[in-house]
Amino acid sequence: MSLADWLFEPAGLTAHGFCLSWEPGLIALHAISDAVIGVSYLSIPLALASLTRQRKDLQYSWMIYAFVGFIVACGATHLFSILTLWVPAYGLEGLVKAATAVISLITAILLWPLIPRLVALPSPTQLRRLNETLSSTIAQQEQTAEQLRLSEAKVQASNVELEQRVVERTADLEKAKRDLERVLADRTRALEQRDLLLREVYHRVKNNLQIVDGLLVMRASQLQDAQAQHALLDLRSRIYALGLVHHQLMGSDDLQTFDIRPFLNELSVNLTDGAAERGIEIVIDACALPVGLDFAVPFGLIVTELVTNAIKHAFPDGTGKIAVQLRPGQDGGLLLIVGDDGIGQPESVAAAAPSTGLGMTIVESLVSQLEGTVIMHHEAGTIVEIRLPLPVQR
Amino acid sequence: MSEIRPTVLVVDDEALIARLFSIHVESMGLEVCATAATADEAVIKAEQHRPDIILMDVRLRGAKDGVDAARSIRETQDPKIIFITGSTDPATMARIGSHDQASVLVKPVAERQLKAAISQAVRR
Repeated sequence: MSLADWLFEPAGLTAHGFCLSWEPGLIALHAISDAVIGVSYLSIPLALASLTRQRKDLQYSWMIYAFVGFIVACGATHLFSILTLWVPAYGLEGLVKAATAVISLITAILLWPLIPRLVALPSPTQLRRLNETLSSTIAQQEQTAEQLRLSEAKVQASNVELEQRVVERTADLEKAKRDLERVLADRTRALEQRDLLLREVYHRVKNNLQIVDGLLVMRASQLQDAQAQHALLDLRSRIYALGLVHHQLMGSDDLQTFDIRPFLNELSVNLTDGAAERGIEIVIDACALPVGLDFAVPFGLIVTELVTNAIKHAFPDGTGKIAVQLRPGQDGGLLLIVGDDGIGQPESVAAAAPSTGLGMTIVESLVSQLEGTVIMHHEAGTIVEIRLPLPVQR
Repeated sequence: MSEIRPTVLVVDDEALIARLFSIHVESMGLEVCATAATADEAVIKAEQHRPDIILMDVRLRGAKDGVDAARSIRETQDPKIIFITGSTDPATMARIGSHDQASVLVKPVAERQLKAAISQAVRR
């Protein structure tokens, strides 16, 4: 048997319509049904292929092409079924069915393993939900971003306001600083002016005292009476003491107080001028003590009077020693002792007439002014003890 | 034959102080050749009398002071100068200090201080 015979008329078989007794109704039913199925089976793969070509993003598209092949093959079997109604081409139909079987088997084999993966693919509902969630998240993020932008704008506005306030505050502070510096400068200038004025006052006082000294010297030089001449010249040491106080004040840092020790040393050197040559020695032993004008003037005059008195009256033979001590007293005040090792006088005489002479009158007045007390001892010389309260610093 | 006495120019704008210093100078046996009250006057008197010693008050009337006068005088002669100042502020002392071999007395000037300074100047 030739292949053509096997394909189109094997073993003399009859067409399939023969089996249906060529019943026109059955023949038509089968022929039309298979035709519709065949045409449909050709149409469906075309639609699937078109879909696959248009949706490049479809996953596992090769599976769709497998279906395309499978359905086309199925369609072909139905069309061959129409052919075999009238032509006994069972060999050819069998080959078409065999091809369809192969394609169907391959498609079936490939499909099953793919099922879990296809199941795992998100469904449109899931995708929609995901999209909705994503859209919601994006919306929230945009809202958050908007809030952030608003916050940032507020922060920037606050920053601008803050910077403005900082600028204003800095300007205020700088102005306050300038004002303060101006006030300080004014105050410093005023203080410098005050110091200058005080120095000028002290200078003029010293100058005027020097002038008074000159007047005394000139007047004394014209006097014939030796006693009167000495009386005038005695005043010079008191004037010098006053001038020395102002000199010390002028040289002090605060122009108000100075240490009593250098003042006492300077004063005693002046008082013993000329006496040292006669053999009269003066010894000063004083504690450090800051004093002001109110204390220093009476104190200097007291020392001047007592030392002058001692020089004049204590040493008829010309030699001797005068000691001036200033130290803290046991009562918390000051103790000034001016003593000499001269002739002295009986204590009873001093007690009976404590204020003999101008010198002692001056001393007692000044001690009283300083709210102190004075005691005189006449033993192997004269010792004058003066207790004074500590000077009040103003 | 009389001994030649050292001459002294007394410069002070306070006439009575100048007089007082003159009395002290004369009591030492020295001659006060002139007194001056201003720096310019001091320069002129120094030129006229060429004194051995000048008692120079630092603070004088007018624009110039005793230090200025001393500087001008030193340009033509070299007398012993004893400065007398009421102020011991550093600026004044620095200006005075620029003059070599100058003595400085601070007011109030006691008689003994003045005489000691003059005696020292005479010996130099």
